[in-house]
Amino acid sequence: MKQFQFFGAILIVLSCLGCKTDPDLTINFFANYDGEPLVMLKNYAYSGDDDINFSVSDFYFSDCYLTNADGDNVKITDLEFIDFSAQNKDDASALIPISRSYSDIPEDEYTTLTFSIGVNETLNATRPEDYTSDNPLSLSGHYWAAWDSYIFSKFQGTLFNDDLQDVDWLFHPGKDEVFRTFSIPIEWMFGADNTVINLHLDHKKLFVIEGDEYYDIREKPTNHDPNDLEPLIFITENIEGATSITFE
Amino acid sequence: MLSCLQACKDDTNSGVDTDVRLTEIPFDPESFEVSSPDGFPIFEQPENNPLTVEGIDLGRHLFYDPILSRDSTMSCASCHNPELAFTDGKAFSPGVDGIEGPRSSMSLVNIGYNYRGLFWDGRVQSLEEQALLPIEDPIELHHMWDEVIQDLAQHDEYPILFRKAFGIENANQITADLATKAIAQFERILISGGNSKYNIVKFDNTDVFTDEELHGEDLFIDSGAADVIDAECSHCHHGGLFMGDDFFNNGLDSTTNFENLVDLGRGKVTGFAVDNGKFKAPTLRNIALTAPYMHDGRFATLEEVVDHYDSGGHPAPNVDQNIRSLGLSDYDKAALIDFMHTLTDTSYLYPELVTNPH
Repeated sequence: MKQFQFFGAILIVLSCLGCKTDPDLTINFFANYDGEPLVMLKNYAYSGDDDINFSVSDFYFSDCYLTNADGDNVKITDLEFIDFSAQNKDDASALIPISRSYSDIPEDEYTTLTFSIGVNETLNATRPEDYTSDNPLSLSGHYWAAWDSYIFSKFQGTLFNDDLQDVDWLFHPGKDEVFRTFSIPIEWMFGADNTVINLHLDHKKLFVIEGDEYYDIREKPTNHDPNDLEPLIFITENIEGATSITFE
Repeated sequence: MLSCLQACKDDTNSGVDTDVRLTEIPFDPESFEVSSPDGFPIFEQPENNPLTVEGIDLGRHLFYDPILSRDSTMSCASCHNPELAFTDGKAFSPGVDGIEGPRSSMSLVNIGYNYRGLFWDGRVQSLEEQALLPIEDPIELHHMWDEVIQDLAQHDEYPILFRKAFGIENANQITADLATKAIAQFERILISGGNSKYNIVKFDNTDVFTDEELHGEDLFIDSGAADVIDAECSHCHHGGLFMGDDFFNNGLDSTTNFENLVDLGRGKVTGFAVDNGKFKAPTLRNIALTAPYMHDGRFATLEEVVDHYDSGGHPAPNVDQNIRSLGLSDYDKAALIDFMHTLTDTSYLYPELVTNPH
């Protein structure tokens, strides 16, 4: 009888092990401005006497993976389209992150989070009409036919100043030369009690040059010129510094 | 035709006019495959309403039939006239009671490719859902679906058409759901554009743009060509359909806040003030045939439309940043219009399926 109980217990343990699944990993995307939740069309202090608002903030978030201490990479997602303009429409909705969940991520200690803004060269050689409507790459509004490129991100809004003319500004980075990948060091044990990565994008830092020096939007307020990629690269590269990560 | 089926009438339900068995009629729907024009998005259809020859035919009959209106004076085609690229040429469309609706009727050409919200404000997501609404809208057909269904079930021809399309076994199985599915199928095959000059130049390579058309394209898409102004058009009208996948305030009305607008547009759907005054950027395919323009038909001609965008529009807190004074010359404006005319195609991919069957 004891033998039956013993084997029974082993079977139960084995079956439990067989059932064991890794928890889902969630990435929450938050849009902020200088520490406050970013609300579309709300004015925030920019540089000097200028205030700024945002009417559009979105981007392709791609090729995201975690790296563990052994240097092994675990893919999280190939591509997401993150659209804060559709989410952060008032004070209440701005507190709610854009959430994406992923399964089959092994429990482990991870040391690096890597992601790209835009779409890689292979995907950028495709076009919206190659995709069905459930794929974010079908968004023809994020493809610039004259460039033969996806628009990797869109940031636009208006600059206000009591003493100066309002200025509409717009940056639509695209083209392979602007594609950027960021690897951010982390110390994170992904497991049952730690399943959430919060990515906070501080929109003020998109424009920071150094310290308190900010990009002069009035000097060049719009740019979607394939022959002048420098401002677009500047904005895109600033995404790394504008991103902070917390875990739950 | 239905009279020959009366022998099949179920005696247990005699007296119910709509109780007519249809099982003697074959149900063998033929699948219908769409071959989209070059450059168009991938054609999609809902899994629960695949195109069939019989479904499209039923939808065509319903679309053109005033049986759908309360006084049998108007059909879907009254506001969506095939002669006008399935619009009605009016700023506001009157319904059966002569009351004008608040917005201009939208073209149905290529509407099947519209996957991101229908109507000017995107308030419904599918053609099936859309087709439900005008029947009971008091300023449109002002009927009741229950009564429409009764009329269809008692009709000589419709029970047979529903049988062939959807396999119903009895006329009393006709429903609004099936009727709207059929109308949606018909609307999905209203495809045009493959014979437009734009497609012929871009994909067939058997013609070339004139200098004016070419200049208009440069302006429209911001080609980067030297000394060519970026007219900012393709921020909102893009892809093979030259259509927006979002909603925009294009500077039609001045306001200092979000509330003082006659028509809240997208904002009424989402409930967010920042969306007030935003509307869908419609397809420019066949735009030369769909005057008047804008959601309220305020512009009679494409010249007026281009003048509006050249002016930079009127200020409002959420006017899109691409609406700005452009500084177009008369030649630029004419070239833009010439380019838009290259998007005209008066033919249909399936012309035999588009015409009024009544």
